[in-house]
Amino acid sequence: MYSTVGKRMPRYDGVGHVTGRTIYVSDVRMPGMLVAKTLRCPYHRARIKSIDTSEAKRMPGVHAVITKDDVPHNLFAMVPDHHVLAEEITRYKGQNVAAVAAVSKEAALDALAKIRVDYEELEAVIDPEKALLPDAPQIRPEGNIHLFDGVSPVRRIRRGDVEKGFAEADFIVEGRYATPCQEHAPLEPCSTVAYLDESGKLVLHSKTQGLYFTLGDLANVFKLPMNKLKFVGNTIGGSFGSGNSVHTDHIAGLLALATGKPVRFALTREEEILFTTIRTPWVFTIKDGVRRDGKITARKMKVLHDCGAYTELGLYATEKNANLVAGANRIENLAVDSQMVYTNKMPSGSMRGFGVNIGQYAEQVHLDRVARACGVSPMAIRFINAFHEGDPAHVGNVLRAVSTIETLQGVADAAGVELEKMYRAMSSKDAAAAADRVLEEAGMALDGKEVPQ
Amino acid sequence: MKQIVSFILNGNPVEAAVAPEHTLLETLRDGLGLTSPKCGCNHGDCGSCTVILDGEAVKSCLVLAMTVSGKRVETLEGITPREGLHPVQKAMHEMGAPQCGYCTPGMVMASVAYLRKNPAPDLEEVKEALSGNLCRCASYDKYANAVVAASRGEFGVMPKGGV
Amino acid sequence: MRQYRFHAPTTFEELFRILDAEKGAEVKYLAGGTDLVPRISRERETIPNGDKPPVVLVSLAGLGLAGVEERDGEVRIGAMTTLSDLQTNPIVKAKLPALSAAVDHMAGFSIRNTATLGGNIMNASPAADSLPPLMVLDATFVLRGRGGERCVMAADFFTGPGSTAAKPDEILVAIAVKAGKGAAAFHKLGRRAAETLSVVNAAAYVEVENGVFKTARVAVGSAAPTVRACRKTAQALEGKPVTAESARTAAALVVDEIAPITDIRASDWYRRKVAPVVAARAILAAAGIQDEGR
Repeated sequence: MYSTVGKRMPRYDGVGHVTGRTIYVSDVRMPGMLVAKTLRCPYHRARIKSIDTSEAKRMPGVHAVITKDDVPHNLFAMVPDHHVLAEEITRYKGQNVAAVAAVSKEAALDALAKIRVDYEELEAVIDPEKALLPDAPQIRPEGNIHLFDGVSPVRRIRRGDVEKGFAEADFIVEGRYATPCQEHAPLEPCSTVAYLDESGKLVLHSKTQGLYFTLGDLANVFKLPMNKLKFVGNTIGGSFGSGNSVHTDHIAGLLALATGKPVRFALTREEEILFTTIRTPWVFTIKDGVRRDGKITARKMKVLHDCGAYTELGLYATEKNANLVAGANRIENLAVDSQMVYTNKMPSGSMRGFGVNIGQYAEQVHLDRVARACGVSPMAIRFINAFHEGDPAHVGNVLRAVSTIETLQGVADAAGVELEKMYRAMSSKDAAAAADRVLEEAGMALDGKEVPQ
Repeated sequence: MKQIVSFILNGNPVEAAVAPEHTLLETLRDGLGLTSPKCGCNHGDCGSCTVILDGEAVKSCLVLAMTVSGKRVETLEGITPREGLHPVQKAMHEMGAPQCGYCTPGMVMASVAYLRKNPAPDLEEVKEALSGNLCRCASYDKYANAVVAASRGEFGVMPKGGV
Repeated sequence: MRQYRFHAPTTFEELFRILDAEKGAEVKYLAGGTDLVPRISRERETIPNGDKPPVVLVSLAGLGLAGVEERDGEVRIGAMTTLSDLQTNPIVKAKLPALSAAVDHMAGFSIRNTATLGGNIMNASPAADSLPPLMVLDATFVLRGRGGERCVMAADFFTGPGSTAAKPDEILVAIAVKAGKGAAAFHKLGRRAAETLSVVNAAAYVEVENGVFKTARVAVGSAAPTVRACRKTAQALEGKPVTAESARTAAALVVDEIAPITDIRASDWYRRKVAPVVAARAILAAAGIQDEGR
């Protein structure tokens, strides 16, 4: 009855892929195209005392050299606090300071060598926990700790009474989980080809993942009305979230505007790894109270997200993480304190899950430790605490189409784990479970005000 | 100083102006306008620039263009038949191996070169042969299974030799 | 940007004339190029820092240095023989299985088609996989200079990471190995199964008589500035019964003969922990003992 649903279909672009005829952004070439290269700050944090581009501008084959003064509006990104080209203070190693468009890669790099920048290196902070300390170098004008809604240094989630929950527990299980930087590493490095078309529109062949988002963001940077901007989204060689941040579009566009010629700005693999957005580090501290039978009675979580030097997509990841970090568990007494801190590393981009799965790494490893503490199996601990249909989520909204238990049963099957009968018989929509829940909630005297239905 | 280097590209004699430091990849892409060899790392790590040089799969970013003078170079443009697909291409396409597709030209070239040497490989041998080709979408199993299926003739008769 | 020049001499006379004419330049001999070419490409993506002398690339491909032959019990491998050719060469497979095994574990299919044994040696990486087997096989490196040929033992050849006993105007032309009476084996620990650089590698050569190790040689790589011949380990093995226990006891001594660093692949601590294990596995494999500890 369906022509495609449930059937194996060849990809619509598959023939192009296997014949090499698919044109990626890095395959786009224009006649008379110039090559762009950027000068990057060699320090984690520095003050730029002066920039002299006069000699670079006189180098053979150079069409334009631009610095912050040549950018119509020098702020970009989802939270637009990132400079296209560095202002007085640079905040991460590899931050773009100046850009050159020249007839060849060699001419562009030779010109970059002639730009004189007088830097004063400043003390930097890389470790997110050190950045929280009162004597840490203050790397942002408003301080290192992000203020949610401009006022609160902590994002709090509260349900029930955690101290009461800990008092009811037979065991307390504590853990600390830290994750490192992670690079997206799409196989195609980021590049842009920008040119002015015959009607004077600025055209960008972009590797962005969010074409209209980037268009709106960069219309501000170029100070161009949107009808003077045309984004062409070619097929891209992977992104994994890296394409939600702008890495080359802004500078290629500015150089095309400055020279009137097509400009290609392509990152090398090293630049892609060292200087573009990443999944930045996180630190999770979890304290669980658990009964002998495996029921979690209380959970206290502290989350620290290292956002890097600029907000980019870090705030979005922090907020999503906070809402979901307590996992697919029914936890009546919960306290989550989430913080975001700025450090001198490349900014936090989005990467596969926007802060959600990284929180689940910590939560799931911790859950195994909880299971060991009370002597139940890793599978059992998840069934015992699983969300059911109609449960309130950690932030209070009622959950619909819940499938925690069915997912666990599927995982057990896939892993070849023999499930106990009672877990095999369970369902997320279980009436008995629902009834049990009502009793349990009544018995535990949940604060009803915390659970808007 | 650039010099003219002559070689056979996909069966046709070509000449390219080449500087001593230019790689074969640069010459194919920027000198001769081919787009199938991809540049993922320019370091010999990713394999997306794999071409066949005198019958052997090589990473074209590791080969200086000067050194291919008089040799035979095959790229995906030369492997692709005028009509339809090479069995390796057909297998990869129909078995859903490519996702973003950026590694695919290198995967096809490494596989075709390997199958010419070992026409009936097992899965482990194919995995070994493709170990130098990275796929960030992690389609490795599908690529390897497709090569085995193609070698068994499931996607048509394998053409003999190169061009 | 730096200037590059390219030469492809077809005789050694021509090569030495090029060297004379290019005095003052930085000469780089080009074998397979799998290490040199990415280094050039990387420099070409880097903002130049001051004036540097031109690089003169001298291709060794036209000098007829590829091929394997066997004469009077000695296997002579041309320096420009590719790793793929070594893998399939029947003489190497039959006479030098440890070297053949090492090559199987080097890089991947397409890089082995380009890379050469001579390049792997002259690159002088402490992690080069061909070097431990060549050391324990007592290989001789044949260098050709203006005055003719001279031979250097593999064990005396490496002076540091990237540096060798070869003079700037000497070319490695061949690797000569006398297949001994005993057996050799190679073992590699990488970060993944294929297309990976060694965290630690090791090779062993043993001659066994009446159930006793009569002669032994052990070399460990990627655990010191150069591949190390582990003489204490070898001595501790000699005269001991051919058992897994004596192999492990002797291999434990390699920690005194290595000086590992922490790098992108592993920490020095980890290398100290695994080097004896990798060495023991190479010894056991060479002695033909099943390693029940694995």
